[in-house]
Amino acid sequence: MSGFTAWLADAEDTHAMKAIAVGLPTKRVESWKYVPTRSLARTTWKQADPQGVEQFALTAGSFINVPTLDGLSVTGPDLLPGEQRRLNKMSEAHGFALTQAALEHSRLILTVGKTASVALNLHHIANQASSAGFAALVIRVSPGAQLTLIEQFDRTTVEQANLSSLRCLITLGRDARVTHVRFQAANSHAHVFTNLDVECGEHASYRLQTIEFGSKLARSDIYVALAGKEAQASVNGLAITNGSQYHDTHLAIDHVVGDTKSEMTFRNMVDGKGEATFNGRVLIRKDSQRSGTEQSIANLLMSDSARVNPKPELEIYADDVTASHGCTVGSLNQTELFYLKSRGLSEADARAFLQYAFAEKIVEEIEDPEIRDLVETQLLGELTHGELIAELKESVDV
Amino acid sequence: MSQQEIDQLVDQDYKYGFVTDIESDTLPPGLNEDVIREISTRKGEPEWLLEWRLEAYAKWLTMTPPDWAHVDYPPIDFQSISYFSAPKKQGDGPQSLDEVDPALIDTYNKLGIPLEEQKMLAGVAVDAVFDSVSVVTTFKEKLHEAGVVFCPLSEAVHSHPELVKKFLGAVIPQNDNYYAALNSAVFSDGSFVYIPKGVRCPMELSTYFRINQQNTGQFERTLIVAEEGSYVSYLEGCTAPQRDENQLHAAVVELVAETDAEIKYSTVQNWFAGDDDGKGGIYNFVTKRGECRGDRSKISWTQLETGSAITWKYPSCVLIGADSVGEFYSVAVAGKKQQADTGTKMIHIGPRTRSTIISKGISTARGQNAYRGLVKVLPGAVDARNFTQCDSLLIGDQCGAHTFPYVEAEEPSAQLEHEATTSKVSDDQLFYLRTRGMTEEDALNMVVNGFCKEVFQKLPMEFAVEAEALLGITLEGAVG
Amino acid sequence: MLSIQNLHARVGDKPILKGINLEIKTGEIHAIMGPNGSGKSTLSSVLAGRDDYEVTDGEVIYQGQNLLELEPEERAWAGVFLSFQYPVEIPGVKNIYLLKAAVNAVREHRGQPELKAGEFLKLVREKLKVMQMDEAFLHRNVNEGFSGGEKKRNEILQMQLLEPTLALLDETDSGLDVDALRIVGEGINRMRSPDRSVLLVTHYQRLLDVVKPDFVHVLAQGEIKLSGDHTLAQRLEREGYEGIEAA
Ligand SMILES: Nc1ncnc2c1ncn2[C@@H]1O[C@H](COP(=O)(O)OP(=O)(O)OP(=O)(O)O)[C@@H](O)[C@H]1O
Ligand SMILES: [Mg+2]
Repeated sequence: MSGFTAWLADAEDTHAMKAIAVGLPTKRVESWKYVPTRSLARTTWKQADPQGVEQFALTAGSFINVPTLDGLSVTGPDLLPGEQRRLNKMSEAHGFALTQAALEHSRLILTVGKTASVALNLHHIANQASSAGFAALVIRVSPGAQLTLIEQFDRTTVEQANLSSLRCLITLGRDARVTHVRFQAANSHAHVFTNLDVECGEHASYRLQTIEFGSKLARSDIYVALAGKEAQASVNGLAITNGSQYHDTHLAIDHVVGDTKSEMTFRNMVDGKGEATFNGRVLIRKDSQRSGTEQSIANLLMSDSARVNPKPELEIYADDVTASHGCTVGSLNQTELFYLKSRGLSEADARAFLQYAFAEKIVEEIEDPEIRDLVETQLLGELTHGELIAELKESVDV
Repeated sequence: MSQQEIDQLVDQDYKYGFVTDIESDTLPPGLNEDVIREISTRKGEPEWLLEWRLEAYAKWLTMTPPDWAHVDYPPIDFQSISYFSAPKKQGDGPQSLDEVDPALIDTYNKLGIPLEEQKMLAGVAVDAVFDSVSVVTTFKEKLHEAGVVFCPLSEAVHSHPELVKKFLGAVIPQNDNYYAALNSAVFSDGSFVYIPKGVRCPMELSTYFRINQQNTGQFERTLIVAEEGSYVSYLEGCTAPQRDENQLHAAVVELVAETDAEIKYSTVQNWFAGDDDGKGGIYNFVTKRGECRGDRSKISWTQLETGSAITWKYPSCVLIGADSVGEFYSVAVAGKKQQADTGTKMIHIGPRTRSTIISKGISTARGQNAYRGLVKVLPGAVDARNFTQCDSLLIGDQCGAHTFPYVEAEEPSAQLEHEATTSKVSDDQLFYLRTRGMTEEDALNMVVNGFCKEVFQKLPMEFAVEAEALLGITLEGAVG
Repeated sequence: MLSIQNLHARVGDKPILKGINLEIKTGEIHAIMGPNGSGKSTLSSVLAGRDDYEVTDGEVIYQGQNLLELEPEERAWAGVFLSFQYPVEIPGVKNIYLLKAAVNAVREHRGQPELKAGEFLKLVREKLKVMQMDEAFLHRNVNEGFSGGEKKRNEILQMQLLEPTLALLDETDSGLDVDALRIVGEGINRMRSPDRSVLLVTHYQRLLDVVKPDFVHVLAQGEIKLSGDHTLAQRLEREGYEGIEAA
């Protein structure tokens, strides 16, 4: 791991030593099979310096401007044993995970109080060339509490490689509800790593919406454990991959106990020389009877050099379950194109319409109108002929 | 199949679990270059083939067993296995049925393999491989007339050396994977089929494999070449006696289809599965791959996998020729403590190549059944199409069903569709059938057969019946 | 307005249209009837420019130009409108986006000024009323989850907005309840004008009672076997295709 070695050598903890020994994952590591590690290995990374911004933000591996909100408290610094165990498990996955642990700069522990309702907006800001920041965020959502967490990766003007890594643990107590939106529109030099581990207690509900437009390389490892009866999880995501971007989401939902429900919907739209990987795994354990899961993955290839690697996995050890998945790869639907053209739309407009529709299926699910508008606006910017739709939205949406 | 027949069938245990008492010539366990030389000498092989084996062996030594499959077994001690066992016989191998040891014929009769020509299923030519050696090939004459070559590979080495040399390892290189490398070093026998240009093979070809000897591995190797415009349908069946220890079966099958040629390859695999607690049984680690080299060529794999303690097998199609077609139809049953990790790879290279994958997995008792498949579309495979459907059925709450479909798409005009479902046998369906007077077991059989219909329909007629019967036996005791 | 000569078309290797000849003059309404699978939808799809069908022979002249040379959208701009037998669902695209984009695309090519949002909404609401459709349909995705009859009404709604010169209506009456049939029929009649022609594919007399055709043709096995006036349809209703073909 040339880019990291020198740096890790200073870190001197056990993770760092292991990380040096193991090295960056190669193609032989199943979960990193498609990840182009070249830019990671070649850059000489350095710890970023925090810079002043006004919002609640994660920058240079530090959390700044942590807001004071009713029902939200900053706790810690100590991790609970379960949290420690989950973080350890995360670090042991491979050489890069070890690196993330070894170089972790800061950790923030937040608690959402019993039955409180909190909305939290976290900005990720990269502002220095060749800089990397590593941090951990631990959120405890007390029983009956509600949290809306919106993460936004801002498009900054840094002209060179930058890297941000966030390891995040979210624990939902009984009856807790979390709506989590991630909108990643980082600049084209960014390397964004997200490790998310969510544990849902009884009757808790976790909903994640993840939208990836930006960055050069983005890798998300998401693990959701349905650990209490009647817990449910719904994850949907959209990645628009363009130029020479690489987007990779590894999502696993674990039905630890019975009577749990999950649903995952993911869409990739790949253009230019982009490459997208989506690995969606659902595990239904022995005795997790009466569980149900549905997976749907759709992939749109828009150019000759685009590449997509979808993999929906089901691993099922209980018999009284319903599980299904569907996965499609293709270009735009010819019948739909014909229909639009027979109504007078030009080829380019018809294509833009269908691309927009493909993405919109995910975007329209975002409840928060402000973030949804933001995503939609940027979505139209991503499309080659988004203007017509932008205009239509402007004129006929009321 | 009539209900009566099903009833008879479900009443039995592994009926192929007998051992034939026959004098055999078996090499002592162990593997090294000398063993390979010995195998080659006993088979009277030419020098180039020995070299080829030794080369493979050298490669194998540098390789490690695959660990990615969803199966779990203790490391295999390759030195405790015997790599060659042949029924003792006089002369250079059987020329006609009269020369074959009667005890052997008896074995095949027990297996239900109609070796004697009179009793032959109409139009099926049979090659039977007993432990390591092919013992008899029937209907030679008729095939010869058509210009079809169907003989043991060991014979083809002598009778058609240029063909064997040209195609051996052409589809599956020696070092393709750990078990293919092992097979390349020690392969014993298997079938060789060559269909010349424009010939439609006049009958179904079929090979039965049987492991008889204790502590023997079976490493057969099959090679089928279909020249331009030809057609062949080939079926293999496999059984083994019931033994307490695990036995290794590491076969290689290579298919080559030239322009407009079609190969239909069917397998009914019923190796001994081990007992209810997972003791004994065959490790079935098989590499099968076909190349559709010519335009409009077609390779179709159909398999019923009911046996083996562990199955690790992915019959694949490399679709090179324009408009070529690959198909995979599979029913895999994992009961007892069986573990199956099986599926296919469809590699789309040529334009307008099409593939279809239909996989039906059934898990009962403590069986673990995994579908693992790859659909890969390379740039330039314009308008390639794939449709994949994998359904899993769970019977009982101790078993597992898993689906791992890989897709790698690099061609925008490709259209790929994958669907999968996992469910248990519907109580409503069972109840409905029982209100119509069926026993629970019959009802289950009927539902499961319906679940598998799509695949069974792809088997040659004669074997579809056998397949249903086999499924019935396998499901015995699954309800209640 | 439309002149079809010796039109042959096939799907893959299968010939479907085997020499269609048809003249439609300005202001006329022609009904095409015929057994299932005879090629009626193929004919209307070929006229609208669907490229699943390969034209192997023949010619189609529309208002003096070679129709077959035009892209589907160019045909739409030139005033050809196809109401689909199976209207396509487009998840994620709001009906109103399609309507507005289509109307303005067509207007632009006719040299008409673009409709402002207000004007457009006013126009749509007017047409919705005619079709007795709820405004909610505007904000749903194109045809997604619409019932069979709702889809057909939506097609006619689009037709009214696009004001085509040649309307190809493929079984627009199928799946409609009695009231809807009348509404759709009236919708078509409203469009009737001396400078507009209609080609109507239908299986039933019911629609023809409302929209009285000038000519009726029987299409069977890819050819027009019989033509006549509106009484032919009544004869078909009585005697079926078998009787006609035998004659
Ligand atoms: N894409 C296609 N692929 C294969 N066959 C097709 C295709 N499209 C049409 N056909 C066949 O062409 C024939 C004519 O079809 P068409 O849809 O034009 O019939 P139709 O007259 O409209 O019938 P209906 O009254 O049932 O709507 C049918 O036999 C149909 O199956
Ligand atoms: Mg029709």
